Amino acid sequence: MKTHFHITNGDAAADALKQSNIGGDVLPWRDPMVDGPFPTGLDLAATSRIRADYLSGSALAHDQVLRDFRLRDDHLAAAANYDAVTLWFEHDLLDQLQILQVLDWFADAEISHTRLGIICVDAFPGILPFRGLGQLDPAQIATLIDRRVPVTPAQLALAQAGWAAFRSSDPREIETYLQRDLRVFPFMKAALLRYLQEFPSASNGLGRTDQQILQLISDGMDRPGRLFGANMELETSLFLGDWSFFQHIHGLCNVRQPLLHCDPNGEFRSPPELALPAAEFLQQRLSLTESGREVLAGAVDAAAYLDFDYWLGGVHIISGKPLFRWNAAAGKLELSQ
Amino acid sequence: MKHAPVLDPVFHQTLRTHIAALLSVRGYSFSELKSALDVTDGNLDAHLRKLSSAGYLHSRMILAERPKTLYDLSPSGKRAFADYLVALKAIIKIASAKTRLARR
Repeated sequence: MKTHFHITNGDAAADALKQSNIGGDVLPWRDPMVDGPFPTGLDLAATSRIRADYLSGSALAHDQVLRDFRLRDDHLAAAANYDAVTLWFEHDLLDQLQILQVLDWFADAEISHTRLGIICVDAFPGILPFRGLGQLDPAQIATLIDRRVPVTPAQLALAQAGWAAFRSSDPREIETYLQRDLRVFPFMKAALLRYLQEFPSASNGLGRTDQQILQLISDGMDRPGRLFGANMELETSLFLGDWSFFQHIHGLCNVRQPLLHCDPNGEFRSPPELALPAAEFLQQRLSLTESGREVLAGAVDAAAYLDFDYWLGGVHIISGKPLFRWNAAAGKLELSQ
Repeated sequence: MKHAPVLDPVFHQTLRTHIAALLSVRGYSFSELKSALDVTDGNLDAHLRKLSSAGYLHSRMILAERPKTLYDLSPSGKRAFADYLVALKAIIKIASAKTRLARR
């Protein structure tokens, strides 16, 4: 029997745990979650194949991505070999979705001899602003072990329901889920509400991230690196890494009727898809096109210019089909034809 | 045989012994392992999965020019591999002693 198995949100927190004095084996749960499909009804292995198909591309070879998902899932399946499993997560949207996915798996796992616990924090003394566990050094992260609490059957059941709602093709199931008593997951409600704001807005068709990007550029911020930082400042429930953020800019810029223009090439270019020298990447300047100004002003719906074809959880958002839109004033989703 | 040293079956396979010997020292990428061991992708994949299924594998993503993953042994993997080597040495010692006796 081994000792302790730690599961956390990414490599920065995993590295801190590995170097800390806590001991045990560490598994980073690498998945951007709010990016690409999570279709309903698939087990973890099948979901990982779908994720690998989506996340691989010119920067990441498919076999490499699929291998890492499989190795991750194999290690997870070894959980029963350990005396204790601890989930280390923070309050943000990325982590709350990872909690749902991991606990959904544990809800059906046979780990009767393994103690399952969780540490989930939204602050750390002296770290301001606190964005996540990845900011902590090994000594700091080790102090959080005292915050470990057992995962309860109620949490497992709620996680399964939440994970099913996230993967449903009808995102109103998330709204129904939010009506439940979620106090055992103190950060889940805020995180999932933020998630719903990524659906195309009822007022101009932009998801909240795209709206923030256009607004920041309209306010005079034109460099991609600074935009990433400034967008992060606007979030209380983070979920976007730089790769995913730049994919949003791609989707607004490198399209048939762009809302953004990028100098000097017209198209936005970003690593790691392109082996782009840092200076060349940083040189780029973004500005609103006339279409972008119209959409930002609410005069034209983004759907008039952009061909929607992307996934949020189990929902395929595609032009020409009925769309779920986020009505910010009403604070709920609505289905538009 | 009473109290025969126990060999961990996860490591008691030629290629996995080689993989563990490399990964116990430092992190290797998949392509580094492949060239060091002269094996096919599928073969190496299968053996890495066996190590991971035992909880013996750690990984770390490096964001270089192209993101790549480095693999090494987890702490439990390092302990288990050290135990495996001790058990193997014990068996060799017993076998050597018996061979010497037989030659007399």
